[in-house]
Amino acid sequence: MTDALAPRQGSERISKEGVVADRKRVLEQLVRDNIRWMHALAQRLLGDRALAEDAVQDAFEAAFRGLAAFQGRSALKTWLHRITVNTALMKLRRLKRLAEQPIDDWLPEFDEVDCRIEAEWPAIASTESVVASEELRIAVAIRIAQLPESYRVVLQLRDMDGYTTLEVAELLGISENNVNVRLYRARAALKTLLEPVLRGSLDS
Amino acid sequence: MSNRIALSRRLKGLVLKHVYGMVTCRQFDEFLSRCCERSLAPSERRRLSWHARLCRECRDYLAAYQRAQEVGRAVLAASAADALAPASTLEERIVARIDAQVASDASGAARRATDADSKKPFRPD
Repeated sequence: MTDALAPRQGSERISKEGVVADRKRVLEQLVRDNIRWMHALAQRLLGDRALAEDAVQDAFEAAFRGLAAFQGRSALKTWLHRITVNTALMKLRRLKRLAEQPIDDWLPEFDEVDCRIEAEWPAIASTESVVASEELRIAVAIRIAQLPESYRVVLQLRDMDGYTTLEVAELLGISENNVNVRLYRARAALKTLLEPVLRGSLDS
Repeated sequence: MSNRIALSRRLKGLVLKHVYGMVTCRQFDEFLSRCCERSLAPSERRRLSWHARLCRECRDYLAAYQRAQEVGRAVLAASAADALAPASTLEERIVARIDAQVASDASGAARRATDADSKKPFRPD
């Protein structure tokens, strides 16, 4: 990929126009091959289609600027994934949506002797049954979106996008310990938020 | 909550707190949060499993907690596949913008080179 953009030493017969056309062709190919998944990723992190489009545009600009420095130490897709996450997080920071917000109402409860307060679960909906129903999928997606950004982003990056705790800490500029705390609280809050879906009591 | 249930909860709380090798529900929760950082030591795992066998609330909680993670992951993965596609013009806009930037960078560099040449002191041959 970078070779196509590098000056072609020893091929003086190639005109300036030829190099420009070549560069544009590489750029078009890069955008065409990656725009859909990058947009989907940005949309998951930002929860907004238009903001995601802005983030993808910024990501491609950053990628194209850094393309010459990209040394192929990771796969191109991995590299673009990280750039997209970074630009989306920058947008969230600018919108001040990454500040920590209270989540305590969704965390487990205990009584005065440290016993858990938890209503009985006679049955739990299976993952397959939830995924098979469009209505339930939407209900789950709405509930996940209710998580404050600072928790949802950690959940997304760690549990879905496969980043390690250290990588998430670097991306968000927080400590590894803070990532772990947020991750556990996000998972616990998710359990509370998904209760009506898992108990099959969505309408009640 | 009836008196009988309140009493049995209290009793359970005291047993879990004071009997050697047992953990309270709150400690059970701390073990769960530690699972995010590292895998648990065999002794911690054993305590979790004993507690879950004795405590209906934590057993139910753990099952729902784990199912919520599975469902969340599965739904997010499915929604990634059905995510709204970007506007059809986005691809063109991105290419045009980057192309314009590259062209402007190139002409800027050329202009700077010309300016630098023009500032060189004149040296007659």
